[in-house]
Amino acid sequence: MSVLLLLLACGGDPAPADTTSVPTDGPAPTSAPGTQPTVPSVLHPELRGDVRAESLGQVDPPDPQAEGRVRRRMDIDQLNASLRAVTGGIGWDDGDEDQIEELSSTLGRPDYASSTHEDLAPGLLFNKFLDDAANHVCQELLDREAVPSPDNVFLVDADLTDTSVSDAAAIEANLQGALLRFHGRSLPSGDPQLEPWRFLFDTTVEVTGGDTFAGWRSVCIGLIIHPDFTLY
Amino acid sequence: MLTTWVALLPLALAAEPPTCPPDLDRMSGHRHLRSISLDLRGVVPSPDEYERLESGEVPASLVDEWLDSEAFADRAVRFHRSLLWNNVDDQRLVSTNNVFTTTDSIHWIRNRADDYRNDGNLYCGDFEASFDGDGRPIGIDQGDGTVQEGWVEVRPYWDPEVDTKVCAFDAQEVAVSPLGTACEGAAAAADPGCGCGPDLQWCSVYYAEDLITEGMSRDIDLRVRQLILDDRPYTELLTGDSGFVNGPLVHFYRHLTQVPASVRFTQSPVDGDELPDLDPYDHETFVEVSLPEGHSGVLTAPGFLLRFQTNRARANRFYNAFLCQPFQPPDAGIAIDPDAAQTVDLTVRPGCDYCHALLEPAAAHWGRWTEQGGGFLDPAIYPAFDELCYDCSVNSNDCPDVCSRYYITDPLSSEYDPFVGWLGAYAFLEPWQQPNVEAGPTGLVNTAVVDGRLQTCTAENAASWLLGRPLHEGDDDELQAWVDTLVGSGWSYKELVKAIVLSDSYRRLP
Repeated sequence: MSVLLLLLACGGDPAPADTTSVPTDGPAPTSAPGTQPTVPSVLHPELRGDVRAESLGQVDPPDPQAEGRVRRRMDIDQLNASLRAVTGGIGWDDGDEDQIEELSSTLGRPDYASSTHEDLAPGLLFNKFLDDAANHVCQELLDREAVPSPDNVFLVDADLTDTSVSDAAAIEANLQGALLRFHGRSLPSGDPQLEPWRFLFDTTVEVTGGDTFAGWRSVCIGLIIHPDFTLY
Repeated sequence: MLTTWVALLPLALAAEPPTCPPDLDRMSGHRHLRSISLDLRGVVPSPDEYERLESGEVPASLVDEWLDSEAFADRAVRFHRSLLWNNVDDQRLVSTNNVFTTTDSIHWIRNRADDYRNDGNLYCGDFEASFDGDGRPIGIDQGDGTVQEGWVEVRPYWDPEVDTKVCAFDAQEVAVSPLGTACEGAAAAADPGCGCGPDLQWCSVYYAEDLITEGMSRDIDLRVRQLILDDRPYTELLTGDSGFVNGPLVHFYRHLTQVPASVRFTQSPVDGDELPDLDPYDHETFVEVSLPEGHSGVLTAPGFLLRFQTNRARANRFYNAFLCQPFQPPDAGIAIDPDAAQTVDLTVRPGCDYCHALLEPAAAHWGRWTEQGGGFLDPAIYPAFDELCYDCSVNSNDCPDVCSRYYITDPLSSEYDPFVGWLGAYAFLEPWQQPNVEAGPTGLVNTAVVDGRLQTCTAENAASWLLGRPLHEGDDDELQAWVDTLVGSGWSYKELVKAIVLSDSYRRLP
């Protein structure tokens, strides 16, 4: 499941060489407007007819001569705290048991007795548990925020009665807020980078017969297992 | 239904490929803020915090605010665990002669059963004990050469709210047995007239022992944390004279160091009577205490000394973690002349000398801290050269335990002859290296400050942590600037980190 979510990823910052010209919170892009992005085959195996691309799930080691700051995966303490921060306090808990804490060793945190190296690779095992965590916290988050409230942190600008048909502006505003909260991306209205998220919401609502709860849950899960959440 | 959206993704992307952010050579202000927040606080920023960007830039005042937070201290603690490896949970501190086992809810010590009851597997009967006129438990003859006493109810120091059934022989409280044995010491295990003392204070259970080792590990965490919160000079981490104790640690120093398991704390590095009175079962409350002369910050903390139990291991960790100088042979290996003379002196032994010429004199800085333990050999009690130990060795008499344990005696090789009677750490040290022993780890730290290695490695470690990669020659200029910031700020770790996260390197995308 997580692997498929990589389809939403752009490979992080920096983006592929060819990019569309869009307004963002960063410096202006240099490529020509309207250029379609070149999609690496690993991100779109279905377009290449090969879902078992050999490089899928592999991570390039840091370039020993790299300059600047290397993008890397959150450690599990960062992940745990950030999940709770973006959801307004909801973590992957089973009763009083913090599941991420329970899985800390499996998820790469060393104990400095039997292991001394922190594994920060965004590997398949990490993504599997991230997927589980996302499903759990998003279900709970939507359960909590199904009723409009000033305390909502996710359904802030839209509620479950809104769709792109009934109130496109509310959907877009809510997506903008969620992208800022989860990924730190500040996107203006009409930004093409909002489109995949809007599509995810709209199509989920459509195939579920109008279930906006499912639509927002899909967006929530997608935001959490997207590389822009766990890589920084 | 739960995965409906996943099935939709390929369709969505096939219909319209994803729109990606532009190719940037440096982070946007938002991403910069997010990265700093995650690195310094371990959590993503709130939407309100993004509002604090000024013209798209992260304000230095916000970084200061985060550096002053407890969250940053916790992140610094987390990072320093990767340097100090402070986990000694696997260590056993208390002799099995003093550790209870539980059978049918009755506490007894298996190793003492033979002396108490003439059967190593026999514990007391499940009835209330009776006592003779001298207050000694009465053992009832079982007719087969064994005796059995009953139990008494005790509120042990590790669980003072619960009445616990303890075999009466094990629960004896006398300080000195009828045979004259001091019951707080190791010899008590073979004297049936001794027990575990009031509240069972000279004995333990594995759970209580675990709290002690956990406290030793946390002591190091707390030293780092307090240093960061108080913005004390970073050198104090390695040379400071304060540490943290909780109830289990105080109890250990007061009552359990005389009954060691595989690791020893004799002579105790702190005077238990000088420590604050803390509930021995309260493992959450830590108190900062001043430590006596000879301590060198975390480098002589019990959690460090037990994690690295030989002086070579201690020096090796220091060189790796704080000087960025791993002892590592060259890729091509070390050329060794097969005809070269062999010697037990590793500083000159062909092949070994590649590392040990440096490692041995460095390890000597821990020469007054016991190996396989955390005891301190006070110079007032343990002179560098001990005439008694020399005499017993050269005259082939049996040397007392203190000589054979801490001094060079009965050498196996004549190469040791010049060092007989000296503390073990003096072996093969050149005269100019001998002061290392008395200087302690602090002397090693001071040397590294003078020659610039400590500040350079401190800055390099912090930069590698925050940049997510090792530094290379291309970073030299910026590294020097960070070193200057660290030293120029009075060794403020916060100022160092601030300089790094606001640097061009941190913001530059590879």
